[in-house]
Amino acid sequence: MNALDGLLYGFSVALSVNNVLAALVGALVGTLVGVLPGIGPPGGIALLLPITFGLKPETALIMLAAIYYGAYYGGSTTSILVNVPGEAASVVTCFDGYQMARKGRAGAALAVAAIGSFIAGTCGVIGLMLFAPTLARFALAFGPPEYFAVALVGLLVLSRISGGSFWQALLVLALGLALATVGMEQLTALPRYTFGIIQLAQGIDLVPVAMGLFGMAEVMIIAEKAGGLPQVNSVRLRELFPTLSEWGRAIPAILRGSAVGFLVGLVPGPSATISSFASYNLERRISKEPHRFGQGAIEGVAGPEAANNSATSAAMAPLLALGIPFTPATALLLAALMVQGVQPGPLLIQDRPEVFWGVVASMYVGNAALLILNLPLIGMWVSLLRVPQPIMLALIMVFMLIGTYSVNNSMLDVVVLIVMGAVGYWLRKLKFEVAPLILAVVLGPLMEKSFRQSLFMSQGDLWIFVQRPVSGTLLAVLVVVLLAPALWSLVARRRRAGGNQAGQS
Amino acid sequence: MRRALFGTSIAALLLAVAYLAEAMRYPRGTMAEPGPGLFPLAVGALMLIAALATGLEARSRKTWEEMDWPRGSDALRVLAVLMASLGYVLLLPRLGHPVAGTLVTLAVLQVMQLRGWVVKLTLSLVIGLGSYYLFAVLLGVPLPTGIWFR
Repeated sequence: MNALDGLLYGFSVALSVNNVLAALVGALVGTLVGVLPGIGPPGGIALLLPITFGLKPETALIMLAAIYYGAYYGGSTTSILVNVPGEAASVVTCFDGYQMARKGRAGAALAVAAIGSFIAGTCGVIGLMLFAPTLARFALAFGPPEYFAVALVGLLVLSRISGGSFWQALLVLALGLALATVGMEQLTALPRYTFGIIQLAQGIDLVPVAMGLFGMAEVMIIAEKAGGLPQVNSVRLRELFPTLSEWGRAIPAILRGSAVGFLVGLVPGPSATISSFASYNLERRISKEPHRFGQGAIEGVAGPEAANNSATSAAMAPLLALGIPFTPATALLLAALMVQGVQPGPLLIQDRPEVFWGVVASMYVGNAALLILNLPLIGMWVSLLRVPQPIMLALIMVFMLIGTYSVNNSMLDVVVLIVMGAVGYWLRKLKFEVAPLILAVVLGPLMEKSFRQSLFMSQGDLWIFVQRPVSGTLLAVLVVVLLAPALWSLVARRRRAGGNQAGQS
Repeated sequence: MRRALFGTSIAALLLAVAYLAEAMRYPRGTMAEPGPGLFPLAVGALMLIAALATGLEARSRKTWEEMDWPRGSDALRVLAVLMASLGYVLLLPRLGHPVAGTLVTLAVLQVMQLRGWVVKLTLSLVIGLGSYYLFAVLLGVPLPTGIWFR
């Protein structure tokens, strides 16, 4: 099936009443998750995950994927109107978006953010549609050493680039891998770290871990900083039209942001956040009037908002083509597919075309729905920000508790949620990045299994990872990424020393 | 922040040692036929090294920002949210979700200082019973009903 046939088939799946409804519900919930500061896309997906268990796999994934990319649409609203980012990738939008709002151009900023997100989201889906099948064909030749290398590189690159101290990221990563070893071991069914607790034999589920680290920890942060309602600038529908000169500056920024977002989205890490910063820096660097940035430059809203949406489409490629998630949100999408009995990977496009092409086509539908929902309903989203915080907090907490319980009907999961909430709160206070922990919980079992299978294959020879072209290349890239900062600072120091000597002579 | 980070690294170090001690109990096999104990050993070693390095980093860094640590009523609210969640764990099997959910909502609304008992009670009932209706009735999740329906 070529891309066009696949897309047409995908539309026949995505345009069924149930799936259109799933995309709409996902888009609405995603926007809500994005608009409300706090819970974030992974928390939002985890919260809604139990609701999708009764749905068909493609319908479930369509809804959850719509929450994922919908959250990035909604995130800009609070950044622009309240100067509080709805999620991490919208931090950059505060810089110029809020300044535009202060100058009475909130409507234009919101419109450019929404239309930019739509254009970038659509470009991203085209990229995903063309790139994922190629990646999947390539990955058909992958064996255990390649899977081990992809997982290892993904985790370590994420730890290196997710910000903060590398050692702290490694500590969090090791904690995630340790959690992944709890339960029955995959090859011999030996129970490990269960301490006689029967429920632990099933292992620790991803949902309570993710919901605890992202949702529960955020609830605790909000409870700590309890305050009055934010001052929200109101926006009228007629104010939502940017001027011609604003469009002239925004459109090229949107296109550049789409390209930057897609490329960054393919790399492991908090790609939506990194891509929005990368796009902002690019726009400022190439601008003829860089002094306008931070004062309400529309390019500073258009580029980053486009980039973070394009990155979400790109992040779906490794998930759907390799079965390996590179972000916490796609890790939860993987968990949703596994619950449904669908194994993402190179064979997904071939074996379950309705899932792959259905989701791709639904992303066009979802992006269009988001554009329609976001702009005319802006008043509704704004009024949501005026719901008293205690009510919102109580609602989120009850949904988290009941949602976690309903995944496996297990009280142990609720205990894990609370413990991980406390751990997440503590880690955030100490400025640890928690994303490596989530990915380690997901990728740990794959890493262990492929590592052991590789050693079985090579009769214990570790060179198997270096000798095979794909795993060898990936490990070489890993070495470069890990050593690059040290080498870079060494070169910079040498240059500075050389410059000082030249100055003295 | 330095002391908190150093304390965390010590706790992680102890956790790594305990994790490694348990890992030693599992068969490691050989390199050609690795057993289920090999990977946990590698993970434990990574945790140990990362905990040590984090501790050393905490000791050697010169500039530190002030830790944003909750005090007074702020800290109490955080604790109360945690306690309310733990209360839900204890109450759910005994009283079922409609009652446990209503009580946890009431506790959170009280902790977050929402005014008016009638409003708080009404909202708690709506959220507690509404969430039960959504999950148990509409989605068919078998939620504990507690002592009421035995």
